[in-house]
Amino acid sequence: METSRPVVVKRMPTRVDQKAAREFLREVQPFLKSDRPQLVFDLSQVKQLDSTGVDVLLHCMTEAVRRDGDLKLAALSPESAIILEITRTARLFEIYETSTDAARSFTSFLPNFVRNQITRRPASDEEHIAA
Amino acid sequence: MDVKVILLTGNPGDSKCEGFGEVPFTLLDALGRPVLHHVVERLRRAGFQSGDISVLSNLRPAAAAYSQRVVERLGLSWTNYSGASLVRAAEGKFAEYAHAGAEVILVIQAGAYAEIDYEGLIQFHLESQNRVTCVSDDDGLVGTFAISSSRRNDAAYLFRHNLQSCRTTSVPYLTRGYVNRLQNAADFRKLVVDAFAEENSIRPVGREIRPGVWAGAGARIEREARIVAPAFIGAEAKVCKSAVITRGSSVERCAFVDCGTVVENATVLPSSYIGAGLDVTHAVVGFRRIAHIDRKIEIEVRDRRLLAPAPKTAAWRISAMTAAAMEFLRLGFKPERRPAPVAAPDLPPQIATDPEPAEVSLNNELQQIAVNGQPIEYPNNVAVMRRYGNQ
Repeated sequence: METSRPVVVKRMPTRVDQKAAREFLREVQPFLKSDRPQLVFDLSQVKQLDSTGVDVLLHCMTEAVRRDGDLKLAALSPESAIILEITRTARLFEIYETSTDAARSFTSFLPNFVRNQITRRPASDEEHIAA
Repeated sequence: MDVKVILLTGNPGDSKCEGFGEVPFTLLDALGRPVLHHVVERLRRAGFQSGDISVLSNLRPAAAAYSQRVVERLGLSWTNYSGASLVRAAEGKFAEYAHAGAEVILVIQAGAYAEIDYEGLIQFHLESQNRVTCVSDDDGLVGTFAISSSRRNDAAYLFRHNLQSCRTTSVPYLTRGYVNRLQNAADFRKLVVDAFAEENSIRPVGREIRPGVWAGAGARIEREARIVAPAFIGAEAKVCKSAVITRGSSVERCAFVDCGTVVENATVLPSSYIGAGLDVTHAVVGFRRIAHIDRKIEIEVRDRRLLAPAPKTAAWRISAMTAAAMEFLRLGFKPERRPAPVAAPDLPPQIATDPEPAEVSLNNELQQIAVNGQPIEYPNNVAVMRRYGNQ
């Protein structure tokens, strides 16, 4: 089952400090205000992320979830991964290796873990489910 | 016998050395003292005086200031050749010592921590009549050499090959002592963990306040903080409430771990502030940098809410106490301001509250209600609500 709503992939800037974070938030605000927004933030370019940047990520996720949407992170650079880890925020987001994986995850109805379980089952089970 | 020591803190090859934020790992504190301190202590136990030891480095200015303080605290002479090759400097110092009459010169590349029997090494060097005696263990060269002062060409060859190969073959001196090459943050953490396990001769500087938990002089651990052995809290360090220090972590002197932060299998370097509510695991942290052991990366953090230099102890304490006293006086003499009442948010009429709620009677008169023919007594300010069906 696929959704027809668009998935917006946004690449975060190299340096996400207070000023850049505010600018970034201004850019994504229209997407956040749409109905059931589906957002993917690509953090592959991020070399410097501070607590303001983390606040912006959390704010965006809150806004997206409030409108019955979701925000997923993709391609975390090592720098951003460490900051998200030490600020205990990494566990709040769904994180994917690439933006494509993250965008694709929106299009499937079943959550990842359910899909994984289905694909791991023997063929007879799959047929049963398909039936 | 006149024996001199040249300690090289830096990379003989170029001006960039392996370390944390360009400070060599040997100059960083491990359980209360710099690693170099333990090397120098071992040399002193072998009979060397401070005047016999020269420390040469080629650190950049930012790291040089810190290194200078560390070395000078050990009472050693320190010369920095910022941005220059350490090879030429070492050659010059070698020639100087040889000219002054030294017979054997020990060259120690202090990039590694090795517990070597220096007396045994010199004895071996003399007995084996090597020009240059290399110290090695099962994994190769350790970075310590005994060189006869008359063999200036052999010394020059060794220096020019970045202490990696000798001009002539010689019998190596095999050490069975503890060796840690300190090539990265993981090695540095291993040194600390090994010290907790007493696998090397480094011991925490402080008092063992609980089995496996050491605290230096003036360390402040708030009552609600949790320290799980083995752990080390350095002198004048502070661990605030709800913080957790666990799994062989060390919080070095004058460091500050703020409320609710978890430090797990990590080293917090001297005079570093770790912000509140963080999760610092498998890392070496300080100087506004984090070296993550698992990810094998070192990053700079400029956010003062996460990492910052710790407040200066004495001045900071006085200012903090003054601020606290002023706050106390202000609240003592002025009536406390109550916050302005917050306007109720606009609610739909179905759930909007009554603007003037009826006063609830607080007297304890009992009302008698019959249930299944048996009277039950409820106070009149208790409301009974029916949830679903028969509940």
